[in-house]
Amino acid sequence: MGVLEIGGLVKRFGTKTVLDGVDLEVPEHSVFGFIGRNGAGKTTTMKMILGLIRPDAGSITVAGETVRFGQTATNRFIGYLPDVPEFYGFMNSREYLRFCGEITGMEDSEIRSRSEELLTAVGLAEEKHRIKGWSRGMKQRLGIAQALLGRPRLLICDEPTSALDPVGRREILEILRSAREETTVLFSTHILSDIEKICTDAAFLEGGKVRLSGELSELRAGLADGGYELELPSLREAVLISEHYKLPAEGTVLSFTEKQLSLPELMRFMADRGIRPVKLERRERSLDELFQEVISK
Amino acid sequence: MKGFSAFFRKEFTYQLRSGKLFGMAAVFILFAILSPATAKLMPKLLDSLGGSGSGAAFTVTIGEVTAFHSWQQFFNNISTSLIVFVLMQSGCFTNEYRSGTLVLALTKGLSRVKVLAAKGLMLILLWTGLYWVSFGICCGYTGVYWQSGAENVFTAALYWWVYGLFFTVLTVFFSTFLNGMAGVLAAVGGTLVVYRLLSMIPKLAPYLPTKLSEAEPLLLGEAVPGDYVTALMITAAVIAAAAIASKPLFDRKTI
Repeated sequence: MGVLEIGGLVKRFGTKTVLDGVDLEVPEHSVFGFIGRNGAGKTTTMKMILGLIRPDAGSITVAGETVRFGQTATNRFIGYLPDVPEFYGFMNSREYLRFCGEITGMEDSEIRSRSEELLTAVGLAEEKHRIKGWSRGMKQRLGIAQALLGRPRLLICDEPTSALDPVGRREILEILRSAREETTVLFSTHILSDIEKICTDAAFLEGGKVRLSGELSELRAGLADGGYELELPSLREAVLISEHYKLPAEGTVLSFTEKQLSLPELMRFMADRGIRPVKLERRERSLDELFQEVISK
Repeated sequence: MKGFSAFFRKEFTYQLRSGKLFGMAAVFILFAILSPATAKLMPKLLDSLGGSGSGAAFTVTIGEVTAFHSWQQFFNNISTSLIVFVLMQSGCFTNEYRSGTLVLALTKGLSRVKVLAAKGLMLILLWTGLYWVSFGICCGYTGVYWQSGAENVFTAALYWWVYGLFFTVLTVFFSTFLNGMAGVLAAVGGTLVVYRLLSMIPKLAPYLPTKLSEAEPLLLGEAVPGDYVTALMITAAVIAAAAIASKPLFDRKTI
């Protein structure tokens, strides 16, 4: 059973159906990438998990408990980082974490030790100023610290990297990756390279439904054959093979799938003619290709 | 309980560090001092305007100044203080909706009713504290200058406090479902206008909350405290209804 389970989630805003039966299961201790275009309904889904928006149909359970709109009991299992986290600017980071710890009912000593630990982890231990006037990257880091404060079973991050520069982005991804040791991370993004860097699982949201979801390695392998790439030492040999098997060639490089040409057959052909390839490689399908495939379906 | 007290402390820190508490205190104290001062200085001011020899454009006759005039000024001025109070606090909820700061508190499992209670209580305590400090100051100065001339001062003050409480609770009530500060101000202002218009109907006037703001008849002894009881009961009922209705409305608010 997943730490988060969503079944048949529907949400309409006026006449526009944003979510049209979303099903999702997030396994414990995964880093789960929730992929979708801008406006696909990622934020809406996340806010419904948090009980902030009322679903028109469907159910959500967090750690086995049903989420109810307007009531926030299930949120005790969740740490949440909004896309642009906003804090009380009149507090400093320690005061804010104290406030967060107190409203979640943590013990004073635990708040103190956990705050220091997290502020150090996100690189804000030396920052003593009030939050008003902080940069986005700093706020994002404090956002992660507050989200992890209560040792949540599920950390939900809404586009945590989209507003950051490359350095800030790398830092945040690293923090999220290390958070996996103690929690499950669900984060939404439209930046596919972020998913490739840190995710173990992913789901694609498109047209109001989850089109594809599962472990990243399975997703890459499973949807369709990624094919092979063969590089040859000279153009002559490339032309020879390409003409014989009617394969497209780009210079000395040939691309093919097992349907077009079986690998043992190719090996025999090359062995018979004494052709020594430079490289024969199984092509991994990039998430980008996968995404294009999903949205063009 | 810990969640409530943490949120309540947060509210207080905000009032303090944003300067709102000092701003409001300055206004309430200033008007409290101005009330007896105006009453004291008015005859001299008018003298200097109207009494400058035979060529004066107009003459002013003013009776003896008493404690009544000081309190009359006070109850005129306190409405300005109340307006400043509502203006400053109309963003109490809506600023958090706009900035998104409430989202993080709610997503940590803090219940909405605690947010509502902490904010409501903060506003009620602020109004109560500022109002009675203001009253105390005016009381002190008025007592120094005049020993008599006003009746039912404390009762009149108590009624006016309830009148202010009415608007404080309305500010909270409208904030639980309206999105912007302007909307809250318009709704509170609109309510006042409606009650003012209704109070022009003589048959209705004694039953409306606006009746509680009419201090003069009490101060002059033309009315007795008992004349206000119906209006007091009705106002209390409206306050209670608004406070109770705030909870389900706030629960339904999309934040």
